[in-house]
Amino acid sequence: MAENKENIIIEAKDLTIRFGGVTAVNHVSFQLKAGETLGVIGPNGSGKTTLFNLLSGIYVPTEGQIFLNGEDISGKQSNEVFIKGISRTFQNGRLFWNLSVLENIMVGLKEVRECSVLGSIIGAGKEKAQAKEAIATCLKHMEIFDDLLIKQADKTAKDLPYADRRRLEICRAVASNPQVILLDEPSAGMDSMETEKLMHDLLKVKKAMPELTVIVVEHDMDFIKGLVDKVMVLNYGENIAFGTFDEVAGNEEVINAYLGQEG
Amino acid sequence: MNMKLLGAEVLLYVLFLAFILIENPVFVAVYIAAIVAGIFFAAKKYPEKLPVWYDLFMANLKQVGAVAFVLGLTLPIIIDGDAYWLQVLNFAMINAMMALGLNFMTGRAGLICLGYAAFEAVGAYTVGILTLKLGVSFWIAFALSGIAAMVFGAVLGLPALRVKGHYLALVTIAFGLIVQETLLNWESVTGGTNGLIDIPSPTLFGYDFGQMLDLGFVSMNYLGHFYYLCLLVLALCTIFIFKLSNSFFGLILSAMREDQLAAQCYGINLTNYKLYAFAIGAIFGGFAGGLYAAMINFIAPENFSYGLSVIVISMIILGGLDSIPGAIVGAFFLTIFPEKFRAFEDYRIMFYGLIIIFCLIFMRNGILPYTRRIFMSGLENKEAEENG
Repeated sequence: MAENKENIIIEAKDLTIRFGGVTAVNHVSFQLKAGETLGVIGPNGSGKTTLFNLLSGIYVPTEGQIFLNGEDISGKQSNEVFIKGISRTFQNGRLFWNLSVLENIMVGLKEVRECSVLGSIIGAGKEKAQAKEAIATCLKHMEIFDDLLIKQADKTAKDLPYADRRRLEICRAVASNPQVILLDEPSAGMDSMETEKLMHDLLKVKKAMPELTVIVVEHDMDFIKGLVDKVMVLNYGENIAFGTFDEVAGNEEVINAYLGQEG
Repeated sequence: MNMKLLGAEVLLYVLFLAFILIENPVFVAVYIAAIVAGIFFAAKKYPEKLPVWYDLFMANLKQVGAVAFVLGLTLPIIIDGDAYWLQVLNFAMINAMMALGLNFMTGRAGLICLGYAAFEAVGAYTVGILTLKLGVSFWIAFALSGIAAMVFGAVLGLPALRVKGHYLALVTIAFGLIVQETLLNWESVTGGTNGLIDIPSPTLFGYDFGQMLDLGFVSMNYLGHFYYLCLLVLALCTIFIFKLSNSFFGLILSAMREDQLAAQCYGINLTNYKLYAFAIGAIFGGFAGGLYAAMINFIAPENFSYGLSVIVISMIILGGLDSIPGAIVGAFFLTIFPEKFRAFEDYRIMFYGLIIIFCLIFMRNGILPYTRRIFMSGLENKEAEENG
């Protein structure tokens, strides 16, 4: 049992947040091991993005705790949560629009964040070498998407085609070598071809980083089916089902709440 | 050394000299209109040439800066030590320092500040009080003026951490007013409405900056000393800002400007970086104020009004937010151009307002937008090679 516990990377325990009278996330609990992928599904307004905002430290939970490697990180600010090892993407895309693709990825790097202010004025020689190293690191991370991002490395983010913007978000999130990555509707706005390509890209990321734990919010069921190990279904902020895709797909409550609407 | 660029810069310098030397306001207006029209038609006729020149310019900023500095050294000689124009040019350089500082806060870090004049006031009164009342050497007081402004910047940063956007703009306006009112009412220290009179001129190893500057073939009044002092300080400020902006630190600030929430979710401690941006941006206002006090020898609270903050904002909007050359060009243009229209002094603030509105509607990126990125992949030609 103790051994099992050690493997657990991220754990949510009775996670709850209330906005006034509304309970957006209600006693949600789950555990994930290193390398596992969890799909979070549920109807619109069921609390998926709110759950992500809790996990990434944007919201402070009203009740409950989040553990990363056994350490309680609930109530920490999002920058601290990121440094601990949880990075995320955003549903509507929140890139640094006027920065280049390369610079977008650089922002998340440890060596960039930890530069000293004084050093950047005085130590000219060292800075250049550091910058070169950071650029090389970023270019290496961009290889996940073959040359799609690399050949556009110096373009500003706002000039990218839509699908590449989503790719850049994912690339930026994995470039910091996180332990857990939260993907908020990565395929939103993509057509079926692009979605499939994205799925394969994500499978590639998982293969390249086998220890990476992924939590993904998605509406596209084929995408979820092809990518995740476990599925959690939220409805009105509550966790109504948890298990493999097939287990969950057979659950009557889930069909009523969500899948039933499709068929 | 790129000779093409050198030639272009000398040509611009000659155009700038003509701009200074033409006295008649009608002719100046025609002259500026002719240059604008010339650039406009050149851009129409050779649409591919202008971006090439722009890139060349931006890629060789070190050379451009060095040449501008050398040309700047010759300027007082060419205008034959004319006291009036020396004064105007000194103001232009002092304003350029302020524009650089505000540009760092607002253009780079995205923290709107509508009370920037307060930092100049802090710097000016630091030098004024220390040299006049306590007999401290100007050079020590000058260094302290930057530090005092930095402390005030951090103090302004503390309440500003809690607010964003429009609310931040309001907080900074209030901050500017608080500083001005304090200067008005704390009479025992600041002299109240009378201000501080007879601030001593700096001396360096016994050499008094208040005397005539005689270069042998040309002589000018004391403003000549300040011209060269301002030029040196402006050059140092520009190098400082340039290095800072092109570092990892500068990158983090621009990420914060683009999207605060996303920046925070990528590990950036917004509290620290906002304080850094305010404190560092304020230093330049402090230095500008210190030079101003020593040069004019007289400071009063009305010199540092809300109007001045708006003028500095219009300088960086005209030059292009986040553009270092833009801030300097904007400051020079908006200091010198109104001088040509002294007869219409009362309409000056209206003129700045018109510039802001015009730029925001027609030229959102200003006259010298900064499009070149800080960090390049070094794979620039990859796409071009593949296509070609």
